[in-house]
Amino acid sequence: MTARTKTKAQKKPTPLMTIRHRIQAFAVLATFLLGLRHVLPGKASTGGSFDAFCPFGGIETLLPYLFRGETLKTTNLLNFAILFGVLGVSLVAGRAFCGWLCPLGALQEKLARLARKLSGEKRHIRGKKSAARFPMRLPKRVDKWARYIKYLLLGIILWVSVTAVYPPLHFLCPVRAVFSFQMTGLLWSVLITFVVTSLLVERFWCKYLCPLGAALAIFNKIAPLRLRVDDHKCVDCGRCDVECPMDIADAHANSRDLECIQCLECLETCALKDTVTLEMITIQAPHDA
Amino acid sequence: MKINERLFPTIIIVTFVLFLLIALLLGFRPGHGGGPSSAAPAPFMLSWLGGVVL
Repeated sequence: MTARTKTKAQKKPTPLMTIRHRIQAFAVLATFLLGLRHVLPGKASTGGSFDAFCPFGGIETLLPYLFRGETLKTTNLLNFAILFGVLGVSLVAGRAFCGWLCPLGALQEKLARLARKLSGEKRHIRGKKSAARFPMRLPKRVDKWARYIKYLLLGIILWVSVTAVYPPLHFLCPVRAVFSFQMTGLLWSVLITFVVTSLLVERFWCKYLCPLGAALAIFNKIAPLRLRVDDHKCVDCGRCDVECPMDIADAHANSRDLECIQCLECLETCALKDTVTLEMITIQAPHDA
Repeated sequence: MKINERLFPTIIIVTFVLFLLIALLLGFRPGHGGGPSSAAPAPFMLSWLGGVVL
């Protein structure tokens, strides 16, 4: 292999991440079409409003449904079905929905890539710290405490939902701001904030504000399908830390961290064979848990 | 048990679709907006959870 062809081969995205990006692109396209469908004339309301396709809508409307026997306005039983699908994924693979299927997460990764390009990165080399100024990381102390905001938000939303008429996040939802095409002044400001923060900090919404991510975080501790790092082989090079979109400190040592979105970037980045692997915890091997 | 990482996307998509279909088959089907009319499976859920037929 000549030096030139070798460079070309290195430039190619790794297959698994290519698949991930394609799935994410499909999720973005599907949500875009869903939003478009609801503003087009005709029988646009089949399946309910745009909110009815949101898995978090299922969480928002869960308590009113159980206590009052009715769903909140703009939501319906389809929210529970979609939420059930997301919970199924989470039961098997933790927060994999965030890393692979969430359209908002996909957009944030695209925006972060754009920020890197705009702020001076000429070529991204996997595992190598970027020279780009953006997206940046918040100071460790701020970052640590800010990550609790999403749990607080989840608690507030559940509390408010009991007496609410509309889903508590309805007027502030970034998914509606990006995809619904039914903009209000408030949604425009949410959209601008979403774009700016995503350019400044990678996956800002996921790290600090997403209440769905907060609800799914616990599954990282119980999901049987998880990453495993061989401590004997790991040389602590920090390549996986560089690629982690959630900026988990010592990603190799925290594969079950609540913040992990199971994107497998660390697995793809690791240069040592069989150091980071995907494993299914079985009953026969409880010592693996 | 080690799993081939190339199977991961298939596993999550199949799981998502499977659980979605189960939920739809259980009666969590789209309706039109909120309101009491969309509360059909509630008695089923309660009877399933508590053994009480409402």
